[in-house]
Amino acid sequence: MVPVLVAVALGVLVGHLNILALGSKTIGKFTTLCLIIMLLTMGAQLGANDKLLADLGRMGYQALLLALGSIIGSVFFVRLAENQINRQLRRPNSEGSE
Amino acid sequence: MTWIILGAVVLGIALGNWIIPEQYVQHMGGVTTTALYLLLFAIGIDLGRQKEVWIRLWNMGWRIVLLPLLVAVGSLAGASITGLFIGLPFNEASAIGAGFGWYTLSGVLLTEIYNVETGTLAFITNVARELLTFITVPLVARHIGRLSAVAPGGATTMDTTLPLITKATGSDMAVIAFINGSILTALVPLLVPFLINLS
Repeated sequence: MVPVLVAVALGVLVGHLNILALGSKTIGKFTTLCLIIMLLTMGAQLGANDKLLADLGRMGYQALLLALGSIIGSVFFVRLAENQINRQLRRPNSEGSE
Repeated sequence: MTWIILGAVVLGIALGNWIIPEQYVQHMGGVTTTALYLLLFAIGIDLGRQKEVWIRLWNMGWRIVLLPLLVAVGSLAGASITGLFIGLPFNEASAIGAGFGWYTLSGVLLTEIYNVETGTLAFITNVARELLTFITVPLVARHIGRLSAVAPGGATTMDTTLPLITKATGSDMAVIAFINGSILTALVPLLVPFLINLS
């Protein structure tokens, strides 16, 4: 967990201070390349695991339920505070800005 | 991009199943670990550069942060409760929910730091979340509320589902949806490893 956070934090620092003179497009291409390598190996690990492959149907059903649960949960929590957030947003920048 | 992503996974499955000998698949750890850290570093650079998001946030007042926080809490609660019913431990269900629809990162991150089964489930779950978002946003906008219509999209409200949300709710919601997605996107690489490590 710590190395993951350190990698992100280092990136934020480098991005914020603009240390690496790389364009957004270059970073985007680089991110895509890393992602494709990881997706390929994730697929390969999945493909080499016959038990997991046979389980994909069950996982699809679990995934659908988890996705639905996340959506219902998030809509429910936002709905609870919707009126209050709306009221605050209508108020012109009072405390939030200078 | 969606086709490239799905193509890479399908190609990987085919390679792993028929072509690459099993002992090599187990030894790909070094490559994926390097790719993961480079990926996280690049994501960090992207986040660090998005100064205009922070300026917009400042101008709207910090209370707008309440929206992505509620989306995050709701997603984690919803996924964890669903996990109880389908027999998933809390750390796995909540970490999968913390993908907030960003299926590529949550999938590869969990595959690398936890196991391939949970990573795959996170990938499929968050693909499903994005697909279900396209169905639910117009319904939620019409019957529940305009702000609530930003919730289903999670982290994707800053890019892939942003046009849909503005169409369903109005163009004045674009900035709010964008900020919501940006904050949730920043939370994914922090929350997923944190939650999966809870036992």
